[in-house]
Amino acid sequence: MTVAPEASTPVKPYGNKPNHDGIVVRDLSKCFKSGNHAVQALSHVSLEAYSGQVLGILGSNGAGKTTLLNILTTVTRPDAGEAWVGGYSVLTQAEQVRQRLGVVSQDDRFDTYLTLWENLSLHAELHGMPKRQFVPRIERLLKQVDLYERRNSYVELFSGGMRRKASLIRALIHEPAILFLDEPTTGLDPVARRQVWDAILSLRVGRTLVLTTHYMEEADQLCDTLVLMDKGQVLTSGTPTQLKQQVARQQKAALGGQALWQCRFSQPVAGQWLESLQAKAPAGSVIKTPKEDTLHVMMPLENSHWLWVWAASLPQNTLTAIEQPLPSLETVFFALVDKPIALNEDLVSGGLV
Amino acid sequence: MWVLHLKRGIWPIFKKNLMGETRGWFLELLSTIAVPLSFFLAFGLGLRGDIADVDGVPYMAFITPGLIALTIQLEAFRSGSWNLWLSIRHHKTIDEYRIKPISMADILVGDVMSGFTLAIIKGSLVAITLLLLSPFTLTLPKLLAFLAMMLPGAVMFTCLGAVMGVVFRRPDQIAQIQSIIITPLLYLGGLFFPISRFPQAIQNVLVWVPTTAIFEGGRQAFLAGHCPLQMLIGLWVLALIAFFATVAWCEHQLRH
Ligand SMILES: Nc1ncnc2c1ncn2[C@@H]1O[C@H](COP(=O)(O)OP(=O)(O)OP(=O)(O)O)[C@@H](O)[C@H]1O
Ligand SMILES: [Mg+2]
Repeated sequence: MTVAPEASTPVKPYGNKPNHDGIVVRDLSKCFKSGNHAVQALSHVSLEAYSGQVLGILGSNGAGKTTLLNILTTVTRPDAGEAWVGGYSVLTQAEQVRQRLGVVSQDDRFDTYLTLWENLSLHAELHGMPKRQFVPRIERLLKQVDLYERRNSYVELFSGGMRRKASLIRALIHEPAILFLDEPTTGLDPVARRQVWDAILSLRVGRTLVLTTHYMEEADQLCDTLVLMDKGQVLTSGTPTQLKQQVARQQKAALGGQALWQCRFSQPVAGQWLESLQAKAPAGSVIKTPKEDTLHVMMPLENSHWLWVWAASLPQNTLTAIEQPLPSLETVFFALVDKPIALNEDLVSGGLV
Repeated sequence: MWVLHLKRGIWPIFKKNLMGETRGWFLELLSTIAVPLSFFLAFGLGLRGDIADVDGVPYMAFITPGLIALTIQLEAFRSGSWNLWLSIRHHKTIDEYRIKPISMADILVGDVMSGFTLAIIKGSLVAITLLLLSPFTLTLPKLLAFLAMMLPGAVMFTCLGAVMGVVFRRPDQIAQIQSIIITPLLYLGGLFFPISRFPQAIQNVLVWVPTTAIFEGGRQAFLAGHCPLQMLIGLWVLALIAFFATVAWCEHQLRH
């Protein structure tokens, strides 16, 4: 059987099956209508993620992240477009897709009148796992997230963070090849968040992970590829560094011929170095020390060779790097989602603008 | 046809619904027994002297099968509607089951089956309680005949509940349906008195209502030990149709 039981109005398959078993999304659109009010939750979204990769989806509230995940997990049907998960079409091969899925949904969906153990074993049974296989696995996962002692408590008595952890391990019981995590660390304490990060990094081998998050630090640390969404559309995508470079270029243009340089030292910056720099630097340069071993210099781009002249005059092995700092991911988010472009947050916090 | 989509999900879903009910079982048991027991005490004992035997049967024995049937049908409607309503609107677990490699038909069949099973279990508990209090003895053939009449009713009421659980967004709407449709259906179907006491015009309508067959037929089975064949066949046919139609309709509604 290859036809999904819930396949209602058949959507015409779009293009050919992709040649890898990660995730391929082509031109997905979805509109929610209620009465005379319509929300275009997704419009012409395309993206790709390979096995072994962590794909991060960023975007403001209502950007369409959960809708996209719902389509990829065969919960919602798109109006147009096609998507393959694990090499199978979500439209015509929902069953095969579901066998390979692990999902941590944004709202932790539990039968709260059952105990945690009952919830977890129910889901293992629905995946067709035999008892001798799932019992040790659930025990191991429960111990990993410190929920073993609470296994016989009713889920309705759990705190938000405990439900989040429970959701996460539930998605892992059947060792899925594709994992969707909708804001997996929202509501977790710092220790638990680290645990989840470690878990995600260790899980990526041989799997495809898709996660959404509102924490830029998390996206930066965990994701190989990022997709930035707004109002149902993909604004841009790339590695975290690519996105930062993209914004750095825009900011360079906005700074009008000025450039920011960051000098890092192996020891605290000495007073006489600063004096020599101030003496050599062209007029109009701004020099700051945001940290005691870091120096920020903003100067016209065409005069920046002065910096190297000055660097050569310093004692050996004191200056470790001269670089143009990339903006943080948070700045990228503000710059790309919150148009018009906000001038470099990092420069502002560094005190240069 | 949904039958073709059935997979291994029925049993886990069925089991989970029953497991949920064992929680706080003592209060659950008391609340199940309280209503029929009150009626039994009020009408059966309190008014014993005032109500004559009905068709040669002591009134206490007359209302016992009716009260058991009432419990079963009410419980069937209750669990049929709330199981699905909670799963769709409150816990949102329907989306969690949907992403498992089972079909929507599994979920619905599991829900409906657990609904009428639970109803029969609770009905049996009420039966035990009432039989302990009345001089009446129930033989096995009578019990089997009675259950044969009860089961199709339980299936129908669970199905009716399931449809309500899918249709309505707010919980109070289900309660309203229960007051407006279910309660009159049950109370007028010959629970407290034979429908032959009604004026002929009303009787003509009531003979077409399935609950009449459930109560009248159930009582005959319970007291005499034989099922009125016409009613039995009619109820089973209706129950099967209701079951297939309900799963098909709900499956259609819950697609995406
Ligand atoms: N079932 C639905 N019916 C109607 N509108 C919906 C439905 N689901 C989502 N929407 C609308 O689609 C848009 C995108 O919602 P979605 O949940 O995908 O956003 P999101 O990016 O996940 O946001 P958040 O960061 O807040 O989780 C919103 O405007 C939302 O109101
Ligand atoms: Mg969301």
